[in-house]
Amino acid sequence: MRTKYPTKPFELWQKAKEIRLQNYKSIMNAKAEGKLLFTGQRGAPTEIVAGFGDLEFLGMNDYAASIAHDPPAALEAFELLEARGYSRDVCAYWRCLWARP
Amino acid sequence: MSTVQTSIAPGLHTAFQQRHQYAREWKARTGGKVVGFFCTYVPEEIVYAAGMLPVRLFGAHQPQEVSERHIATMYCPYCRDVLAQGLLGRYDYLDGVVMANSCIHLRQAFESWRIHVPASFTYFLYMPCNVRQAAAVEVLTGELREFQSALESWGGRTISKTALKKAISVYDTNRRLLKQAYELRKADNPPIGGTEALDAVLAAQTMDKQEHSKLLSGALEGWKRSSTARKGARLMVVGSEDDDIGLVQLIESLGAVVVTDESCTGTRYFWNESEPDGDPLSAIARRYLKRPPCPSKDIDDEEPHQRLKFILDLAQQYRVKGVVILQQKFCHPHELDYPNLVKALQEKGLPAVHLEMDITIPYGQFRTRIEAFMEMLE
Repeated sequence: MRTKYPTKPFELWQKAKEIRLQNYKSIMNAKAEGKLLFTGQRGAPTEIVAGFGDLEFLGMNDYAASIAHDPPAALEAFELLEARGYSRDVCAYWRCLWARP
Repeated sequence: MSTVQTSIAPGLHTAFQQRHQYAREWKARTGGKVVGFFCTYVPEEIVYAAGMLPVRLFGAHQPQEVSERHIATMYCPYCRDVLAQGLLGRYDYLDGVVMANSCIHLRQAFESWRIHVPASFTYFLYMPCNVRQAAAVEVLTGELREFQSALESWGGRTISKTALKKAISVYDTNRRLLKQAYELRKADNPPIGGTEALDAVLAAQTMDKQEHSKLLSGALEGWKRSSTARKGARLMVVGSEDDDIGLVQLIESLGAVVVTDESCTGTRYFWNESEPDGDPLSAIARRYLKRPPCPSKDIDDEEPHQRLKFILDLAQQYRVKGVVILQQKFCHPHELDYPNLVKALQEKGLPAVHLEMDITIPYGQFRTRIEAFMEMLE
């Protein structure tokens, strides 16, 4: 396809995936390593919590996006929430998060 | 569905049905400004103290195609219907509009309104989400001071402490009268039904409070002397904003008496009065922070589910046999409360039926569902 500007594959794509995987591994191992683990919106002022020192942060927004990107995981979340009485028109991000904290 | 006027309080019914005409006439006879508000967390007392008429914005329950260009169809029907009324020019007499921080959908309707509907004054008031947090009184009092200042600049006059205290007194008197009307509904066969009660509250939200209190006082005397005795299953209506009088009328036409409610067009609007405070703004702040909470404000880890406690308390006081949950479609705060609400009702042996409202509602389908619910209660 001809494009107005030259394009090429994202060179750091694989590296980005590795960083993301490392981030989730750090989160998974945080408790075992004696670190504080907390979650919140990405828009929250995490600088304040960072004052506690050695900790890991699970960003709600990107975690919900990761679940939504995995259809079986998202489906499981939606079915679980619906079985508990939550409406299907409640924000899908929220349902992913609430079902799979 | 058409609504009928009640014999005792036709003025309250008409006042709401003719709310646009009322506001225009009020404006013509007083020369004052009329300010529309989007949410019952807007402290009307301050607007009233400025010599202005605060009126709650309502939809028309008619099909429309103007709001969808501005806010998505998955925004709650109330927000879309209200915005449509502004876009269609039905609130062309308003001088200003105010929104208090509550739910995102309503805020977006307000943001669209302030862009597309002419008004010389628009104001977004920050209202804390966590109303029970220790800092909330100080935060809200400060916000109210800013709001007062903005109104003074726009209105060209100072709002005195005396005017604020008088407005608080006028509003508390009105709240007390509404509560007296609700007290009558505790009777075995109440003289006042859900339709009349809804008329009374809706009129309160669209009229000058002193004029409404006068009208309501007359209606109260009539109800107290009335030989009307409403019989039927004692139901409670719980949920989102509901100004659809025809829907409550439908419920009552099927052999029920709506004896109380929990909504911002009912008890949540007027249940608590202000507490004495040297600073009137602080008194107003405390009153709004302590009112029965909207689910969007029922956030507190230490005292969770105050809304559910309020609902269960009302159900007990009014000897409710069943609950009709009326929820605006797509209303997230109510949808997120729903599972806990149903569980809490079940634990108290209270059956519930859930009806999802849209701008227009399917009366035939609702009739069938309510009939089935009534049969279940027998």
